[in-house]
Amino acid sequence: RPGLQHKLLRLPLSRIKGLMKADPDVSLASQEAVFAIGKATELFVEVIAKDAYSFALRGKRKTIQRKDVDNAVDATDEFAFLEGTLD
Amino acid sequence: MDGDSSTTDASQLGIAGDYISGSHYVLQSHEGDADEGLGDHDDTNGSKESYREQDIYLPIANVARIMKSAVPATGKIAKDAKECVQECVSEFISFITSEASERCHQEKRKTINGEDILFAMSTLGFDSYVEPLKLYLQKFREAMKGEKGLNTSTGGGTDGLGEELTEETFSNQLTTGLITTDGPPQNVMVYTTSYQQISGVQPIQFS
Repeated sequence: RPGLQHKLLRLPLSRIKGLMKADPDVSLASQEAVFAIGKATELFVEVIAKDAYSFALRGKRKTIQRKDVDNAVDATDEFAFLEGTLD
Repeated sequence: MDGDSSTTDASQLGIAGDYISGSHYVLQSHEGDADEGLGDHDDTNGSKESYREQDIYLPIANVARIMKSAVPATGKIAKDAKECVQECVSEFISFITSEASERCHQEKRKTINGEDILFAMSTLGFDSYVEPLKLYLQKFREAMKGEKGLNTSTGGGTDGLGEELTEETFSNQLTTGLITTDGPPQNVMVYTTSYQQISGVQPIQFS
């Protein structure tokens, strides 16, 4: 692969679309919508990873563990929707 | 599409082939970017009863790669942390999709578009994502324009906004081979390239 190429999205569009359509209320989604969610998901992962890493460092570790992710979720208001997932 | 009974089920969204657009971005199909070890690709996909791990999560390899890119190189990620984020990702997608879908219904539209996603992000507390997303959407539209360049547009507008890029639309744009529902699900990787000139493409000589 030529060295100058960059991926615009690091997640598979087809799988994202599959997840969207798992919602029975969703009939159609434009490719833009799928891409937008995909990119938002990337940003989300980056934010959570960074936050979790901060917690790992606080615990004097360089390895992010699940509890660091839990703490990251607890610490951020907009991640409240994840509360149920972490059990 | 071709005798596929689930033509309206868009669980298979793929981009076939290589297309150098002459603009900055290329779209390229990619199979099995993830190394989840799930070998079977094609038995009964599209079925509503399938609950394979690959259907409810995004590939852990992709998720892990993004996580790694966000922390210093010395940082490591435990497997259960990756799995946890992988689960959070699915929740995130559902969460945003649900909100966007609601707005869509309220406005009596059937297709969720990019604006619906942006609006949902803002409503749900992720407004800091909106501006970066707008930029990326712009790049995406440019990439798509390159793919569609050979065809007359089927709708009216060429601004890419609100254009319904459903499977049905793309099935008419055969020469770009943009979307196919044949064959196993293909992971789509969207690339950018800063090439202006594509090597190997020769101008046509008329002698």
